[in-house]
Amino acid sequence: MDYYQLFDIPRGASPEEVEDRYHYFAKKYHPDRAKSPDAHEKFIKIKEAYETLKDPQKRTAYDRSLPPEEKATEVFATPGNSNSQESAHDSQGPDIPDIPSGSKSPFRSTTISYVPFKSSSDPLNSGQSNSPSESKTIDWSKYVSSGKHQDSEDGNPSGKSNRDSADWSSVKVRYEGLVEEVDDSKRKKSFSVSSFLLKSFVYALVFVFLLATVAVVSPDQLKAVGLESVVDLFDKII
Amino acid sequence: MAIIELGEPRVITNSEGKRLTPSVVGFSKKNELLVGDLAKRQMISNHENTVQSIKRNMGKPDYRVSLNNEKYTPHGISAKILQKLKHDAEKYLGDAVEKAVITVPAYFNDSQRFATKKAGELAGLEVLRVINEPTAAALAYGLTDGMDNRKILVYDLGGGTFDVSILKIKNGIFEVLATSGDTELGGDDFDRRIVEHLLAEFQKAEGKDLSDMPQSMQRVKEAAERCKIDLSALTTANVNLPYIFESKTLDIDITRDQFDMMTEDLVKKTLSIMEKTLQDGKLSPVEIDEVIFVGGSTRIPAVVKTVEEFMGKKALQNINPDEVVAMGAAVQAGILGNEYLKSPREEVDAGNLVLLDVTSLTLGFETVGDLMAPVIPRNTTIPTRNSKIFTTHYDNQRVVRGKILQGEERAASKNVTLGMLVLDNIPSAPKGIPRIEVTFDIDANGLINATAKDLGTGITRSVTIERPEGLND
Repeated sequence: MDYYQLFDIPRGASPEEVEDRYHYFAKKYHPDRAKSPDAHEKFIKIKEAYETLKDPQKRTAYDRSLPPEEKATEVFATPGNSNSQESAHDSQGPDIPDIPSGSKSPFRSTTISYVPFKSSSDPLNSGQSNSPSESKTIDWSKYVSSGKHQDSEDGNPSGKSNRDSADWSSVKVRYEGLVEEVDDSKRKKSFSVSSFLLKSFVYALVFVFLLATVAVVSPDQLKAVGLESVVDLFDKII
Repeated sequence: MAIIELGEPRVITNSEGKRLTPSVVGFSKKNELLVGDLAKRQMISNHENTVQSIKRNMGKPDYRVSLNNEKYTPHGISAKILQKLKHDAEKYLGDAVEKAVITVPAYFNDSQRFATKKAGELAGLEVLRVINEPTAAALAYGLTDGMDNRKILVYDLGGGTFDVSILKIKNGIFEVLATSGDTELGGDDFDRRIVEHLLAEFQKAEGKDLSDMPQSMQRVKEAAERCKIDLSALTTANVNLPYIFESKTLDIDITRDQFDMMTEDLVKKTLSIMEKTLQDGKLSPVEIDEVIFVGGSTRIPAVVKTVEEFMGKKALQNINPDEVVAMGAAVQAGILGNEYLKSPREEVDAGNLVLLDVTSLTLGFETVGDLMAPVIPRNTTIPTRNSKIFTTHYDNQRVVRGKILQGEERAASKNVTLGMLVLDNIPSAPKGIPRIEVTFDIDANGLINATAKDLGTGITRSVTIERPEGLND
């Protein structure tokens, strides 16, 4: 069971986010609150996840034991790419308590498609692959649908390249998503620049108008503060 | 005892109009059952038919109290007290009282909790929950202003027991981080020091040892308690007991300094338990936002001074330390009954409050060589479950028999035995081959269930913990 999926949080979630989710589920499943007979079981699972994720050491060890995060999208899946759909289905462990449907934000299933496995990109990892924290064996077939991917987590170069080459389709999907996002932010930016210019122009106009009014109505005051040239200018204009 | 009224916990008075009911039970000379103040009043005149501080003996399977030529179990005595409270509450409310939340010291083991629950049932109450006293106090304080996103330490020095709990309150979640205590340390021990002093002084002056005279001893004990209470307000207290022995009078002054000297080690003992609890919670005193005082003995000036110095902050005592536990129990009852609870922050009503308590003692299984194999460590949030795999220690062993233990000692025999776990019909195999998974499950009530699974055959057996005979009647 993937604790992050259980909590419905990204792997990079902060300790505060982890705690907040735990509190959310505790209110939902603690037997004092939930009267259903399986509340006890559900709470124990939530608590188990929290006990691992709240402790930085346990969490690091647990993160290393996790397979790469694989997420696929229904929206962008091409007919030939049935793999991604399958893996999305597989990665949902059978024993995950039902996550409230309302808490899933709709974009989560459509953006990230492949995030490189942390430890394989971690230079420290290659030397530590035999440490006890990693001795836990992983059933890769559960998470990776293609036979090519069944390398171990040692991060050996051949296995890695294998993985990279096999996932082009999904990588492409991710870039598409990114491009779209960038476009959107550019649009927002240009919009804000033009509105800024417009605003400053309006303000300048109002200022000049005020100055002119003062220069006409009571030129002495402006002279007193050393703005004789302004008075002269407006005198000439008038 | 307390109830929830209009969203707020409220202590209600007993039939004598008092907010506190002393846990004293007795029979009058006319063979009437007396509970509370009435029983306390006859402690001198009829001490052989009166019993107090029964809490210290809860859960002891072989302990019996003789009253009026009859033997009573500790939970039987306790039930008499609860019965009175139930009756008085019904009189006050004008309605039947059927369910209750009962509090116990946090450091009570499973047998003691079980016995408490039993006492409630004997009194005709459905015990919704047995909760820890310091946790209850935190619940009562948690509903007061400004108690959000805070770490609090509850220092609970009652009459007979001492508890420390550290909790974190955030968004209506009361999470116990660590708890510890001593079920044999409390205000009674402070009294005893004064008693010892008085006896020694009297013997010096009059050459008479009063300790073998029950009636005189009872008077000395009561005077010692009063003296202790006086010393919380005065710097010198006088103990005057006329005719304590024949025509002799006991007349001794005790200063607060003297008292502090006599009890210094007791206060130090509470400090070391507090330190240990902070260590368990991986916290230092500066990380604690609030210190809460619970229990009458926290009125002792030396206790206040020592604890505040150690923690580096003033302790809160704005809810009566004798009543705060009962109020917290009412809050928990409100949570369980989904009652409306008033709180300074609207989003934190009963529908949004959850108490996450912990198991205060390590739970384990006895193995060969008088060792305890821990299965669920102390300070684990409950409900919880954990398993350990055990095996046979000789060839063709068909039965595995072991004690279910609770405590922190490595040696099995030094811990408390909760019951026996017996697994038979293990298929014959060389030693070390069978793999038997023993699982302990603690529910939100703190009650333990055990299952054993033979991983070789896949046969699962649920094992009920057989409690000692004495707890069943």
